[in-house]
Amino acid sequence: MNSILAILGAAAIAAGGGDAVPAIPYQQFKLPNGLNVILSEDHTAPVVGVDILYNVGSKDEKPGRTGFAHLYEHLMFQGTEHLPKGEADRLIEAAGGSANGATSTDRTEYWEQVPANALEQMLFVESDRMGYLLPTLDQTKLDNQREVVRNERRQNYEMQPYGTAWKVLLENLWDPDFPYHWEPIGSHEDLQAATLEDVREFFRRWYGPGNASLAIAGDLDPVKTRALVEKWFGGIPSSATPVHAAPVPKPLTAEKRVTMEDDVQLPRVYIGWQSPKDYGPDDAALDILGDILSSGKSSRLTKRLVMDERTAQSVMAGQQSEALAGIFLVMATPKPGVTLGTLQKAIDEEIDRISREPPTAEEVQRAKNKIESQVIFSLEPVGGFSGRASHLNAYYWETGDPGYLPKDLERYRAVTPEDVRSAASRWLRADRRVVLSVVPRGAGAASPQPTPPARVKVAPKPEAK
Amino acid sequence: MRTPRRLASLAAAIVLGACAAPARQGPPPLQSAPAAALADRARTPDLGPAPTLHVPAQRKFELSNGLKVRLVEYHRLPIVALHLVLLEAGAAQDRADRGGEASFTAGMVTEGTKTRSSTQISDELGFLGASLGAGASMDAAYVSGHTLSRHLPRFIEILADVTMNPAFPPADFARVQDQRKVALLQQRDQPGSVASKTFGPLYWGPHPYGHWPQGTEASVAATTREDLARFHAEHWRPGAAELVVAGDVDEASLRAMLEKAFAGWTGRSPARAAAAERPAGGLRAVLVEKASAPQTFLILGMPGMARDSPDFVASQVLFQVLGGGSASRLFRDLREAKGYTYGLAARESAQKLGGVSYLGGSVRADATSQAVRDMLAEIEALRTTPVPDAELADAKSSLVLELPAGFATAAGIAGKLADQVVFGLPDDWWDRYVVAVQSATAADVQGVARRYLDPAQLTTVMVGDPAVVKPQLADLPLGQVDVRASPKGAAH
Repeated sequence: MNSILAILGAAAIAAGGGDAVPAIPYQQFKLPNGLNVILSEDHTAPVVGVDILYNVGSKDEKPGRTGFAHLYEHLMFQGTEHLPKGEADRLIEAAGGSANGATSTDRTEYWEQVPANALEQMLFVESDRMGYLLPTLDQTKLDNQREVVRNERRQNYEMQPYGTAWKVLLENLWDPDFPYHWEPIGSHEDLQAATLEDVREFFRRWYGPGNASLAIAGDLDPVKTRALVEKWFGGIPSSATPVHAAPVPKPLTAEKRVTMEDDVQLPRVYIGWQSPKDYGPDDAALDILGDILSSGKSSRLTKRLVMDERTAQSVMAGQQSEALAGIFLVMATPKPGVTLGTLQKAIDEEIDRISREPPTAEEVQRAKNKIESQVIFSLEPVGGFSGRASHLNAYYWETGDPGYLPKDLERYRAVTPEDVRSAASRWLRADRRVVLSVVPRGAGAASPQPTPPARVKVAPKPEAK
Repeated sequence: MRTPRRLASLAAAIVLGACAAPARQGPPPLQSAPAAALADRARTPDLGPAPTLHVPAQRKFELSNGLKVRLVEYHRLPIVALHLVLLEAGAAQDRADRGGEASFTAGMVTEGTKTRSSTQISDELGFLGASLGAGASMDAAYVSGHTLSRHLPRFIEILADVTMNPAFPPADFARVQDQRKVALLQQRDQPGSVASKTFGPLYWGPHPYGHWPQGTEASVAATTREDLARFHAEHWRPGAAELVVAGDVDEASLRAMLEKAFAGWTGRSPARAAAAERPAGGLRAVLVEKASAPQTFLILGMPGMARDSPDFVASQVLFQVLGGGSASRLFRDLREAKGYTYGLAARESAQKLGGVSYLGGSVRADATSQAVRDMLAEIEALRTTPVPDAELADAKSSLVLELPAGFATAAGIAGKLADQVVFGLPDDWWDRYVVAVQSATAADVQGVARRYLDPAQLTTVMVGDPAVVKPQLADLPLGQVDVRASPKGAAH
């Protein structure tokens, strides 16, 4: 941070001169039943964020039961032994709070952000879900939420332009056995196939206290809060610690070209590579590379395709790294009349260039500055999907250390222009990638079948349109 | 995700994959707390006294050029959020044949000034790690963003430069014009955009709110850089603007920075022309084709109210009961009992010149008519039966007690203050709001339901598959349903 301040010529620096990232103190303990607890005190506003992160996601599903972790997330809102369906929602609303849940490939998160006086009620809600849910689950609830999830899939994927492209990309990047092969939303067929017995087994295996972490941030008294956590969660029996399969992805051995049709006005090209897992070697360098390629008007792909040549309506590059592996993606939408081949040629040239010549120090520094200030902005809310409680929990599961932030920033500060170049040359190879072309329905190469959604075909050659 | 708060746009999620996160090493773990008794789950723990909302004090001052400023000092983190409101530069000011010019003008201010190129602006902001954007709603234009407080002087200098000195460089104008045309083209595939673009003219007719704020492909193509320069010169004036600042800065330093940065900006905007009337009328309904769509996107709209209406607060309670969240009637009935949808919302869109009461969202295609029937039944229930006491109390608590979280971040504070500016609300608006919510009765709520949820004046837009939806429409009380082809056209 000091070096960045010096470069910016900024005047002020925090007393002590060391770390300009504000301190977020926290305390951590474990209950005898295995529940990890993180408390972070901040009395600026009379609000608390409660976050429970279960260490289970769609990567823990089996083929044929995809979408199950996410369907399960919905069932967690269907009532428990002591809170009939709808009562938790009512409590949260009446308290003036908000709540939601989300399922990713690696983990499932539940949060509430409420006025501080409602903290104990939220501990009641979350502990009842952890300890007293199963006896109340029945076929009616399962059928209802299965239908809600299928509506979610229709709304956010099938009804959206390019909404099913990501699924096709994953299916081509990863082997069918590797659990990133499918999206957390799952398929209609698999959702239909899920049974109550599947649900019960999933709960028993993954939803015990030993596979969960509870983080609470905001206007709290740590001693009193610890007592409340013990009161509500202490009586939940400990559970066997589940074993996560940790398969290693099978590398791509060639370029794969795929074309699909969709209800879109303009085609779009997705170029995807396998990239390192989160916190792995080259992970930080590839995040910075994504910024250098497409963040801001002078980033390389934006400048060339959007600003100068004006062949692209939009271009985006970036990495998403997860527990088992990552994906580096470049995605570009051409202007009407421009072919995907034109964009791809330019993208290839830019990737090739940065694989040979390191970026400038200024490009790297700008990317680092953006990342560092993003961290500070992200410290604002105590609750919600990206609030303090959520971040403490995420670092806990990802690194074992809720206070990993300074080390994480250090990873980014340490990246040199040469690191970016060598990471690009290692990971973004033209002979180890998936090139997915989404084309307007009817404009696809061979198959003119007009109706059903997202028809996929593997093409041996790029189509020059 | 459980509720449709944000779209699961995976490609978008990629951008910030690995890094954004807080925390640092804390002191050693807590000493063991006093042994706690295990919980009695038979009864819900008491809430205890609710925190009261302390609306942060606004300090108001005026620069020597007449620009009004309101500041909330908030020193929790080294962050400052700024929101400049241009009161007479919203899309309602678009000329009839230049739809989108307000939004286009705002979109161009960050694309080059007399001294900075488009890329220079982007690079400088990137180096500061700050964000700055501009845009226009119907009622106002804005320039807003946030920065680390140590970069505030430079940030304010950039914000003032783009506000005062946009150059509309011809090459950048041509590039952005094409971007905006193509973005409009792409909206043809987005059911929500198609529905909104259909609803506006159908409901509002010739009223300024009847056009799409981004204009049409034709109006954007007809717009020249001279149009934008003229619009900017007339409407972006300190006499019709106000700057909201929230965060880690004190008044004296802020004032000095602003006086320096905004020196030389002068003038007022011309008086606003009187708006055309919305034609009164009964039922209007359109079904826009989206072939093979597995869902129907629905908008049900009825005459609502302007933001300064004395009925506004009671209507907030009404919409909280009807469709405010996961405890609301639409959520419980159409989603949690019947499984027609992932989520439906109901809200009052109350703007400066008028408003609309909305219900809407996506429902399973084969359940379209049943969903519409059920939504209308919920409306009828609110018109004929007072909301039960317990449900009313929950809705009112929700509206009041959610406020402290809204005031807990610099951007949240700036946003709330900006609303006060746009709609000309009194400084003590939020304190009054709390009192008004608390005093709303079931009769008040039923009264606003009768006035602002009138199914005899329903405008309905459906985007879906006519093969599935049309046969369901026979007995629905929507009036004659006009079926339209999906928006198509030569893509250049």
